[in-house]
Amino acid sequence: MHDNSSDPAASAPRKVLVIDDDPVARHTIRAILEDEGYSVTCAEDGRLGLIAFRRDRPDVVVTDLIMPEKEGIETIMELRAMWPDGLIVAVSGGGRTGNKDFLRIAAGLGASAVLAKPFEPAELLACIRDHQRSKG
Amino acid sequence: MDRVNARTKVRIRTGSGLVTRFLLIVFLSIGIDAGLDIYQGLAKRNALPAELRAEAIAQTRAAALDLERTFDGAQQLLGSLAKLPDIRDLDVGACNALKSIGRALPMYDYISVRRTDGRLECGSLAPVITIPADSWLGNRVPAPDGLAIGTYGRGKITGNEVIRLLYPINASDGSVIGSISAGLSLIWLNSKLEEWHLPDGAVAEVADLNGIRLAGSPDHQHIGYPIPSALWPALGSQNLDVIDAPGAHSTVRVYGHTTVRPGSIGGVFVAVGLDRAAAAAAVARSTWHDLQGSLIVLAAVVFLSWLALSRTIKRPIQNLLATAARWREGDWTARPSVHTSVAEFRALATGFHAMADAVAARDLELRRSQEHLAQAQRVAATGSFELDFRTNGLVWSEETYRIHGLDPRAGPPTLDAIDGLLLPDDREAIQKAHAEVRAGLVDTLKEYRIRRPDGAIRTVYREVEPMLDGAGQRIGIIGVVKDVTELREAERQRDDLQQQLLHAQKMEAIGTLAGGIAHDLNNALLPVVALSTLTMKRLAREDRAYQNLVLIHDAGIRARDLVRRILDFARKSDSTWRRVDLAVFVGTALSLLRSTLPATIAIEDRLEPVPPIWADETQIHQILMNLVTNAAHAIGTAMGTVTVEVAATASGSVRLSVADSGCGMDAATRQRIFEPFYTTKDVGVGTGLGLSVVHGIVTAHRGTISVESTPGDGTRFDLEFPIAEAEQEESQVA
Repeated sequence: MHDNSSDPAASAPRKVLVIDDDPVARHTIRAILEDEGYSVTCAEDGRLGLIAFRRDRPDVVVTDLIMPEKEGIETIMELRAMWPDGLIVAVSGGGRTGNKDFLRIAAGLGASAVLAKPFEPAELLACIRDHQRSKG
Repeated sequence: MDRVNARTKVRIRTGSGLVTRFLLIVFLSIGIDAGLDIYQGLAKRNALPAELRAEAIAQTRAAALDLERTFDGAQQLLGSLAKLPDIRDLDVGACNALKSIGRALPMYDYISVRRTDGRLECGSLAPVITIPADSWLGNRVPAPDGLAIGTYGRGKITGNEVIRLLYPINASDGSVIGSISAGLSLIWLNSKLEEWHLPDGAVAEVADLNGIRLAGSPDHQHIGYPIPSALWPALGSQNLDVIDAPGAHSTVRVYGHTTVRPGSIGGVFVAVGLDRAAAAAAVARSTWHDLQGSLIVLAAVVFLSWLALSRTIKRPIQNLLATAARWREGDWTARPSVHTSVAEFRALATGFHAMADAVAARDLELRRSQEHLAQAQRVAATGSFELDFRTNGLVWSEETYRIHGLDPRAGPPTLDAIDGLLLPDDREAIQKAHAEVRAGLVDTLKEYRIRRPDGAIRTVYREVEPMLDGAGQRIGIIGVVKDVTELREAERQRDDLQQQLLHAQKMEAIGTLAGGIAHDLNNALLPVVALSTLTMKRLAREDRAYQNLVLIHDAGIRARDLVRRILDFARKSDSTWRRVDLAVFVGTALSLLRSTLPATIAIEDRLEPVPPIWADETQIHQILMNLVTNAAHAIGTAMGTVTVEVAATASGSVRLSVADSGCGMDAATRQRIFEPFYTTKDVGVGTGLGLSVVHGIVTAHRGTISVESTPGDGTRFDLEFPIAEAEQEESQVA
């Protein structure tokens, strides 16, 4: 949204939408991505995330799974319906809770990649890079 | 039946029997009769003299009457003859008439007609001879009419003894012209006396007025001799009178006497003498005769009574007794016979029937009630008993015998025998409990254990109440017993399952909690891990802040790993069978277990690469936790090591070993550790997951478990699991 052209490291500057209810998590993910030259837009929940997606048309969506208002998995399913080839990375702190392995479910329902919190900056970046490479 | 009959031959004691008593009454009544006879006999004897006199007079009167009739007959005959014309005229033709009359009347020795001068005109006897006038006749001129009775004499022609009779023959002018004389035969007279029917011992004397004997009875001799001198004073007495006189054989007789034909010319003296002694003897004989009759009657009555009573009393009573004997044997179908002629016995037998019916009905009811109770006790598996403190006697119901494994037919056991069944601890406890009940305290013993004769150890529940006597003293106990061995076992198993369930619920709760915490914790760790890395890039390695950020980052990573491990185990509260790498699983599990053990105990792991086994991780985790906890308890507060090994075996299985350096076990303990509920730990110390559960889990995994232990040298458990087969895929058993 702001100065995505100012990042010299990005060979192909990209827009990333980050959807997470935790402000600290949003801040951290934005810091990781902006350090690498990505243009980052943030949303506090799935509903706002979908509005931002339609408005900004990002190249990558990084979304949390367990959120108020609209669940991450629901968000992923709607995104995937209107954006079949998009890159969606699901991240979650409650990666494996009780019977529910949310990350595996997310992967099954359309997430391009899944990542358990907490993760190293490199892990997130590698995730995005690997998928861009595999796509083309 | 034979046995019963043999016992029913009941002897009635004759000493006090009904028959004897009845016969005694008969005997007494007849005895009274006999007494009366004797009394009457004595009374008769006392009245004898007066009676004897009266009898003598009566006999004499009868004799006199008979003689009078004889002389009346003579008077009529001679009177009639005197009026015959031939005889009155002293005609010769009269003789023919006399002859035919004389032949017709043999009682007359002769009949003859004489003139007043005494010349015989004619007579009944031929040939007619002239006989000089009789001197007696010469002195006595017959009166114009009437018979004159003369004296003893003899017939002139026949020589027979006679008494002479004389009747006058009157001429038409009334003057006496002659007389008819007759001789009454004394032989005939004597025979006449035979008709008199004198009493026994009585004598009769008939004499002329001179005292010359004419006839006698029973003595026919001495005719023509004087009668006994004792009778002489009575001669000539006209009246009927009595005189005592000695008789022959020095007997004393009472004579009645009189003179027959008083008032006419002449007469005869008659006396009848009764023997006083003979009369007394007769009375005695009569009394004895009566008595004899009574005695014969007595004997006959007694015999007949005995015969009748035997049939009518003894038999029905014996019948009743025989029936009663069968009742004693418990045969209430027996009934006495009602076929007796005695109405009272029939009524008695009928009464016995009614009584037997009632008793049999009650007996049946009692037996039904007893069967009901026994059956109810069988159904409830509950027996009853009584103990009498005074005698130490026991009463057991059938079910109580069964519970204790004893045979009811052997009879109630003694207290000592019961003590032999009890386990040593409970023996003292039960004695103490009985002493408490006796002392008036409440019975506190509820359960005791026995070793039955077949060797089985059983737990018996009991509930007792004191038995009181009339004075309220405790004389024993009455109670019920129930074999609760299976119940107690089931209760323990249920408790164990409850604890297992509790454990599973705990695990699930922890899992849920851990999941929630993990989510927030992971979110919190994201900036710690990621921002520390980003910031480090902007700092020189030598920078102090860089060093700090490395520590922060590493701490974040450690925290992340810990959360992941917690989640790994939390999510395994489900029964999920999968291929499990035991070495990896045990490694992860031990890292968590370490934190639960005291610092004095070290866990050493030797984990070799092994093929996967088919297992439920939750259960394997339980096994591991239980074995490690047990090992730690065995070490206690001392310093020690728990060694956990995972290795592949030569036989193609995976072995998990848990060894400790603890106190070890003796052989007896080692043999029993896999028994349910066996524990060496204090109450509350156990984990609730006994080694038996470990054993059960290992068995469910088709594995084996063995133990080696030496007291003081520690214990080692070896568990072996088969390798998972290729086709076994993950599945949720849930």
